[in-house]
Amino acid sequence: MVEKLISSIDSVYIHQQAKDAAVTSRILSLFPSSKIQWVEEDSSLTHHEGSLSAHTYSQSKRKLYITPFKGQFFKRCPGASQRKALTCCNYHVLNLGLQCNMNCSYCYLQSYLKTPVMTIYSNIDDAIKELQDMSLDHGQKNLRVGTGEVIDSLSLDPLTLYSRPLIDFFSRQKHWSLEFKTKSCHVDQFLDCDHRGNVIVSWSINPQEVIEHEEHGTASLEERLNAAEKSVRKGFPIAFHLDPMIYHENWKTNYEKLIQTLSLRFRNANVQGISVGTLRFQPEQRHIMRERFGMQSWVTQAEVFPSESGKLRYDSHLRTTMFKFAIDKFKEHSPWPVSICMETPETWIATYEKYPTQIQELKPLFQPYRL
Amino acid sequence: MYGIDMHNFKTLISCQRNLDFHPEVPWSDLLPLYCFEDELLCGFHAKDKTHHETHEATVIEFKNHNLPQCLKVLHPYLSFPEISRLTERISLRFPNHTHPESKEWVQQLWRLYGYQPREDLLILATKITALPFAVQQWLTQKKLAPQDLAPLRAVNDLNILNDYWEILLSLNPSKSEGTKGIELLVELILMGHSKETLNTHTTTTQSWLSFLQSLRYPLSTQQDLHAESKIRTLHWPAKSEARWVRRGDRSGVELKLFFSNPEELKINLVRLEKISRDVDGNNTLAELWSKN
Ligand code: SF4
Repeated sequence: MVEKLISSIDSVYIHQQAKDAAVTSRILSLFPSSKIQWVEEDSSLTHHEGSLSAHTYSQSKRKLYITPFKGQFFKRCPGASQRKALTCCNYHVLNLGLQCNMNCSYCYLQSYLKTPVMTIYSNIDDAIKELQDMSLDHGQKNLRVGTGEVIDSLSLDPLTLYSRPLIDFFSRQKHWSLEFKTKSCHVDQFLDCDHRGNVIVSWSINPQEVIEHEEHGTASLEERLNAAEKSVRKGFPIAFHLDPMIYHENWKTNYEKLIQTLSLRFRNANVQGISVGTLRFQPEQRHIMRERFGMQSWVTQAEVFPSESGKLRYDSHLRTTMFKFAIDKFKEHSPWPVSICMETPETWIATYEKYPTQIQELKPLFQPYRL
Repeated sequence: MYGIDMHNFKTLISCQRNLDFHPEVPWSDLLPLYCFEDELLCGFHAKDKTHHETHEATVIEFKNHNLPQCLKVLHPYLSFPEISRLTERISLRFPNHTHPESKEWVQQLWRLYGYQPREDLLILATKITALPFAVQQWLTQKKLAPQDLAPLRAVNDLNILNDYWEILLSLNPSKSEGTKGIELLVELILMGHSKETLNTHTTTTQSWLSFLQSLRYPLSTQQDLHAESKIRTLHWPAKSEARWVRRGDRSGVELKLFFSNPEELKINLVRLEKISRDVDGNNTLAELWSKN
């Protein structure tokens, strides 16, 4: 597993200021010295004029940069800043890096990233200190924290082992929960950690057909489900995100098969939640996607239109049909509540005929409060 | 800043025209000519004068300034096709191996003109210079910027578009229509549509774009057409106009209603109530609002 990761990375750049970090020692012990380069503060490595070209973006996935992060680690979920246009759950994100070693055609990082490297922040201790300070004031609130906003939570974890100190910190939090959200199958590195059942390991999943077509370099569906089963055996709660659902010729058959599989295999597991979302992306992202994945991709070929939030989405009727389909199938096969992520109030109403705060099972997820 | 002394003059005949990038704005005969080293920078079509008009055949040579600065002074605005051609000329005239500074010149030149010298845009510029000149002129005339031409970045060989430029030029669409048309064409070609499917006899930009749009968005187009025909079967109030319209990711009925007194309004509302009941009770119509 680690070997595969090491071979997928051509160069590792380490900032001088990260030289004493634990992650640096680990990286130095794992990577051949020929791949390592030390860099200074004013390195041109991260400075890039304007957006990244398709080529530079693709290359960035093969260049790892270890550096301390100087800003605030902890942020609200992006959906929360667009409250008028989107209905979003109350969620906070902890960014421990930037960019991802996998390669999904729809990945929003393509229109977001401005640095031509895959960054891992070396100062995990500062991040945990930030959490510690926050917990003094807000430790009694039910706070949900995720680490998979601008980097996959676990795909690089065999290199960093950041899951371990985080699980340790959350084992001392009564009211907070942590979510590792991933499309990888990397869980072995933390399964032996003691936890108090508030660390949710979640998978973004799609039918294998979609994974093969659009989620390049990610774990197969079977690998993800196996990893979920391993986590369940160690007492970790799990969650699944059918997000983004992607329209394709056999979408109904493929999604129903997936929902049935999940329902059968995880019937008795502690499944904390299911969320569904459909394909969406910033309009300017279509260009880099077209360049990187051509026009045979179900994502670049998608019939998407500008929505109220500015993102391109499927026609609203089609979205409602897709959501209804997934929700009905989950209702038919499983006991789990389903929520819709990053969607407009209209879609919530059209699908559920209610806002999420009016749905009993979902109420706790959507009770907003400010830090 | 650009002071001239007696040593800065050359004769036109001694100047080369390797940097002739076919600027759109012709250089006025009333203005003096300028050169950098022995390369003419403007007035590329100036005729060499006879020996008794030598005073007109002199060219002012820029000294103490680099090439990009000189060009910017002489040509304050350059469209993307123009800067693309100029970049090509500079690279040919001052190749890297003899002029290591030329790469830096190109970068500086692009910045001076407000273009980002990104590697993919430099590649796009090379592709643009290979387009038929009439197309380049159209792009200049409509002021298409690199971001408008972003779809072309996905095409390795722009020759695949050669069959379609004629339609574009003959329709002479506006900038936004042209940009949309180019994007639709690129996507359809890359999706595997053949020349036979894409070529259409059309006389208006609107019908050309609708045609391309229907090929690019077949499901939504079909759905919208189906909905439109269903809408027509409903008994709308007299003096009203109902049609199925798409607004971004939402589509639905747009209704224009005319009434001149409260009585007419009441009658209209009763009619609309009935339509609402019909839609509720009739599955086929209700399907308008849920797509498979
Ligand atoms: S796994 Fe997530 S972050 Fe990584 S490429 Fe896919 S969508 Fe992007």
